[in-house]
Amino acid sequence: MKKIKCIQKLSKHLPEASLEMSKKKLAQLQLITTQSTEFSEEIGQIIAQLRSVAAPSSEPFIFTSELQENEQLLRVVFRDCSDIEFRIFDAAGKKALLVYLKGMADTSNLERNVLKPLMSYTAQETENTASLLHLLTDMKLVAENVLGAASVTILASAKAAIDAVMTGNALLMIDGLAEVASIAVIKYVKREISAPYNEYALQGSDEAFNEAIMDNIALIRRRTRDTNLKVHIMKIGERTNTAIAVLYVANLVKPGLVEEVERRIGLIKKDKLLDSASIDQYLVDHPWSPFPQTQMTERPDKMLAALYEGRVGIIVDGTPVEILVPCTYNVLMQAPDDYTMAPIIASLIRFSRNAAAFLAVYLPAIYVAVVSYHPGMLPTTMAISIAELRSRTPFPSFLEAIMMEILLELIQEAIIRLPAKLTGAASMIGAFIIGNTVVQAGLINPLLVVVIATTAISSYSMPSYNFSMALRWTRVPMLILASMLGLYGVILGVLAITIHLCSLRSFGESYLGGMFNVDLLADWKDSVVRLPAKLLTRRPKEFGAQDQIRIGDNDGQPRS
Amino acid sequence: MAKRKLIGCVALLLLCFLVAGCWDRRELQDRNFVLAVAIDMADDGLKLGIDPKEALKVREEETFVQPDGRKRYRLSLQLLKFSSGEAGKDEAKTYAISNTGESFFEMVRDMLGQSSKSLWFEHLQVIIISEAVLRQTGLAEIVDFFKRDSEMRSRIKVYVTPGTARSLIEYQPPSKEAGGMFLADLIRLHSRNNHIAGARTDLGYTVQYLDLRSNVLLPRIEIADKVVKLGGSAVFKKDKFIGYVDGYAIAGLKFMYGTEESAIVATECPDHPGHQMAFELFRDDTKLIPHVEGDTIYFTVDINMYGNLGEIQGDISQDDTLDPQYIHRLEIAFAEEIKQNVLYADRVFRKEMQVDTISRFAGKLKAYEPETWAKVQDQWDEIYPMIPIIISVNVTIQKVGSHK
Repeated sequence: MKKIKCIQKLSKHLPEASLEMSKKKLAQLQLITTQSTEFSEEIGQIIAQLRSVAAPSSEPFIFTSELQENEQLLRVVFRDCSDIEFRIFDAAGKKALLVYLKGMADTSNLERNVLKPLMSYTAQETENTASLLHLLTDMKLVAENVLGAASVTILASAKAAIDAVMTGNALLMIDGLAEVASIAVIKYVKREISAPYNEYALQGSDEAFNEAIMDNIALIRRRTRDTNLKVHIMKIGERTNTAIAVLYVANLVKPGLVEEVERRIGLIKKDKLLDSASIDQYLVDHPWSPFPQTQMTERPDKMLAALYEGRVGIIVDGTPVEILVPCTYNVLMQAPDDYTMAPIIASLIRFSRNAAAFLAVYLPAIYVAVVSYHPGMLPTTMAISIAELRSRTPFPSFLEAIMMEILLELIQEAIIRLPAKLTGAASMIGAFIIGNTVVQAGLINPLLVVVIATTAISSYSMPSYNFSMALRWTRVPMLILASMLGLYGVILGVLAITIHLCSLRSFGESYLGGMFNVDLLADWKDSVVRLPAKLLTRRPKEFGAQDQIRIGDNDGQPRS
Repeated sequence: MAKRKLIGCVALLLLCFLVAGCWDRRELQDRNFVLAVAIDMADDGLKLGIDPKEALKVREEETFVQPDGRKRYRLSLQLLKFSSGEAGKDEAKTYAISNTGESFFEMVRDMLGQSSKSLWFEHLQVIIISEAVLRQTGLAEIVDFFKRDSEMRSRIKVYVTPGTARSLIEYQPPSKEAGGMFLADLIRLHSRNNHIAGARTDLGYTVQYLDLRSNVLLPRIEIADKVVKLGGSAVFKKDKFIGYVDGYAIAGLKFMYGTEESAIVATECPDHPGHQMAFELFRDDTKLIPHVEGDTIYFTVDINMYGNLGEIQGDISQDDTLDPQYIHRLEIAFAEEIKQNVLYADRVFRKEMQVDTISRFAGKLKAYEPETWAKVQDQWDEIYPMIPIIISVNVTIQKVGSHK
């Protein structure tokens, strides 16, 4: 009671202390604070604009010879980037500044090769100081005489300097000099070179690409001493500025191909670039086709072999799976193991792989068509045994096949998504459900299980995962066609797919057409079959290499 | 607007897929496999069976109302019974249903009243026609339905039985095969059994010969007390049934036409009377050639046979199969036997039945002497039994199967 009295008293004596009034005042205060922040922001912007007046439109600012000014400008650019280190030190009496990204630059390298030589002169006042002072008047002289780093670039442009810092270089600035030195001390955490995850070869090399572009290029370079192997690095991605390297062999590649690849890469409009697969969608001619129109590989030996057949490789920073173009059905059917095995065995495997590709698409469709439309085509004993199996299951064959397809897709998807330790359990459950229980429950007849399992195994035997995914995709429309139109529908589907594959173009090369082109019949020696290496004296005609003969010509070696 | 029209067209096309696509979709298990067909007379032809009065009598439930027809034929179908999947269960694979009426097609459709699934003839194996039917009607009339229907296949076997055809399709083979397949497979090895004429006797050839007005030959099948036997043939003049010939005549015919691939020729050993020996034919070179000299037409049959000595009954220690003289005597004996066989066939077919089976002689004359054929083709039926035939047989024994 007393307290209430007291408050009443206060408002009585001081009208300004009333609740309404104080709320109003508080709002006013808040407004003033926000306004003042806006002002300061605006002033900051105006200052930045004033400063950059002299800079060309492509540059954020230009360096001045005042170190403090430069530092201020850089601090504005790198504001709220806590991982940027500004290291101010004294070099023979002059102020110097080292700017680098903490996680991306090798600090011990900087200490040894930059800080130590520059600072050592300050400690002892000797005659050297004078000469150093003389050196410090020119960045070029500093780079040539003082810095012990392996790679030093003198930069005048602010944009290039900021880029250099963001890639992991250190920036050295000395008071009185408008130029800056970019010292290459890039060192960041990365994965070691490991064995390929998806393209294991029984007798091939075990090295696979990793995420660092320079390492990946080195993996290619290490395998050849050919100066004709060219590497052209481009930067794509408005924000990420990702490096993309285009690799080719200058005197082999089909004229115009590299230009076309670079043109298409140049046309990519994207803010971020995280993987090669997203580039791939910008490069292909037919983005709606399920079939892969670029070849993906994680094997450097595979890429090098492709380069020497006149194809072009694209390495994207940050992805261990790189791109090869052009890509045709032929190259997707070649596995590295084909070349380490005896040719006659490899030829047989090539044949069975082609047959598997056919089965993976058409087998369930043919089964459904024959069972529900044309059982007269079966031999009588087989027709009887299938009919006996089918008489115990309630669903029409199409529904049965679709159910099995869905089950298969689910299991595949589950196995990919699950942590590695659980995939065993998932596949066990899958195998158990499909192989046993569904049949025992009388939902699906065992023959269909055999058909679907054959189909799945066939699609797994493709050397290219993307291609096997495409086959998986095509299977379902084929099944629907077969269930509606029987074998007539299957043949319609075969025609449609064949026509589609023949009309697909990957950088001008027909996807499947090359197989049936009489002019390219010579390519069969490394597509339908695989001849002994001695006989593979010519490069595939398909990719139009400038020099068709593999050995004894102008491929880097003097002519004999 | 154009885009909307396009979408409309595509939708219409897709609708066609859905409404027109599945019209003949019938799952395999929803079809009743007809494996064999038997054709009898509706009320007679009873010779075999347990109760002859009941066996083939027209029953109310096995016929239908026919205002304009007599219940003339009895059509019986052998249907497949799907096994329950329990192994080792001793149950019949097939069962038979039948119907009586005039038109086969009508009878088949009426039989849907006796079947839960559609009757499906694409795996039909065998058609058995009883002699009683053929004595009344031409073969062409009987097979016409099977010739026209799209579900029939050319390689369906056609047999003639002197008894009731239905008892054959009710027969359950002890081997647990489906009855129709068992019956069809009986003829499969006709090339090694020279008592069966099987090379050109299936539905396709039969229909073809009937269309060409040739003379048809169909294998004869018989059932007696759980024994089924294929042997001999029913002989047709054009499409009229004229009688049966035995297996020996068929063997002679096959030697004369050169249609055998392997054959056993058994005869008495010249050196050991009363003991049999057998020759196994491996390869033969047979030429049936017409010759025309002036107004006379005659045929020569040149038979060259190569094969094994397959069997000699009797005292082997006295035989020397490595003696070329002895082998030569055997060759002559076999050649004589083959010649007798051919002469027998010639007598049966040409002199007694006066049938130029599958028109082989006419075909040869037409091919070799077209001008003569043009002159004689109208009187061929009269000329044919009068033509002289010169038969020469040469047997070579290549292997004797002996060792020392």
